[in-house]
Amino acid sequence: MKLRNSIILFCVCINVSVSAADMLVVTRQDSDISSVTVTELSQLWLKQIHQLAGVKAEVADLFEKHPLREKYYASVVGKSANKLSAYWSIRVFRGEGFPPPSFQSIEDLIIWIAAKKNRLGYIESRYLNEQLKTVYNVTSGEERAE
Amino acid sequence: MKLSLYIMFALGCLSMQQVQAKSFYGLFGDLTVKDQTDQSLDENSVSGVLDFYLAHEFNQQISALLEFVYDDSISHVEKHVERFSLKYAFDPSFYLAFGRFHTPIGNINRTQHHGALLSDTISRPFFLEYHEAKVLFPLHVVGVMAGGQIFSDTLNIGYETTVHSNQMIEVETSHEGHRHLEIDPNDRLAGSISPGFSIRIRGFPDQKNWQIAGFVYQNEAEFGAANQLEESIVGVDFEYLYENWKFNAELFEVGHEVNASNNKYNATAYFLQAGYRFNEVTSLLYRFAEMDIDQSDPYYAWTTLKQQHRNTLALRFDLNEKHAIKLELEQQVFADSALEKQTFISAQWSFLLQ
Repeated sequence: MKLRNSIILFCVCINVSVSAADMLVVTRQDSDISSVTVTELSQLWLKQIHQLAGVKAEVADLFEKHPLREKYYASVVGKSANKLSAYWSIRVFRGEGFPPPSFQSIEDLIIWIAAKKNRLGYIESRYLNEQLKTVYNVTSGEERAE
Repeated sequence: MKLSLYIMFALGCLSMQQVQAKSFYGLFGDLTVKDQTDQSLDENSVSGVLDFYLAHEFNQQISALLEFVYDDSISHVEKHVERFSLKYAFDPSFYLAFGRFHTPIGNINRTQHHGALLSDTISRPFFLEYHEAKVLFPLHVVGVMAGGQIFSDTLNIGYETTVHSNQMIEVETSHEGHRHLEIDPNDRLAGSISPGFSIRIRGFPDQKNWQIAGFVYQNEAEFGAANQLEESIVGVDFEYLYENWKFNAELFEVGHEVNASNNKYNATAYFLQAGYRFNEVTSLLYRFAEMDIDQSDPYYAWTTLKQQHRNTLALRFDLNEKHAIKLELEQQVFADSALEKQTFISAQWSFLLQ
């Protein structure tokens, strides 16, 4: 009985800060990055900046047709797929580099994030595990939703 | 076998590998109408350029770029491979590439080359121009390039350096009788064994609202009837963005040493540019460009380049991210007062097709 109450209480607490449908920007637990603003996220994914408070950060995407990716770019970067395509075409043409690497699944993305410090990616909150910490809740617009 | 065929062979081999690849391709195009204010418009003042490019990232290390240009300019029609390269990135701070590149002299030659949509104005600073006939800055090199970016808390450093072939400057005459000059950047001069080199180092903060760079270029060139000279270019370029303002400046000190006589000649070219963006659509830009040359330099005597400066006023309308309309007024003023001042008016529609 006591254990069951504890589990219920734990689940309620978790639900207060992060719902199962939230989109989170996460990094490895021991990362030097602890919080980030939505402007910084946009600049990181567009490769306009490469550091956060002096810490070199790497970012990655989900593949182009993934619904979470479209939602992320609409919410954080504020660019439609068409605008984004033009943006990267021009950067590639100028030799300023290619877009961030992209992964077929959230599981693959999490493996990439967990493999090295200071890597960032966006996931659904149900994929959050003990290896990862949240630096930004895209759904609620809160920094450090952990 | 030509270098370009080696590149194609290498690309073909790489394409057989099973890697997570990304491709970008597109077509930049423009239609430009240009006329002198004291002459009536005729059909020769309409020109157009199509610029196809294909960039492919085979994996995080290997990428390739091919750019092909069809240029139907006022003086002649030209079809050529503008750039091709195969690049291996060891990490962000160091890559090696070989192929045909835009020479790392100044910012505009690297970032606003073909692809008219990306250029602030219709014309380039005249000494960096490629359409009209009297421009002889070495805008392309063929060889090996090394580069990278080093990020730090205070200032990021980017660098590009090349070891490249010598340059041959040739006169060509179109079937309409227009004379134009071509620089072939992939030439082995008779008796010459030393390759050229260039290096450009730039500093910029992470937010990149300003950038300053210094560059050095050195090469042997051949022009006319086997006249050879040693050409060196040293310069700086600067860009600063402040709210709706954008400022650019570039300075080039050019040195020529003629092999036969050992005579040395110097020239200075620079431009200052200021632009203001009124809103998402409309921006206005002014540029002053000047080149001060030694008229006894056989190189400029041969190319018939006259000392001059130009004032350029440009209005740009960005209809969306893939279309722009530009209007421009350019005044050409020669140092020799006996020569006539010329004023050009031009309009351009530029686009990106993906």
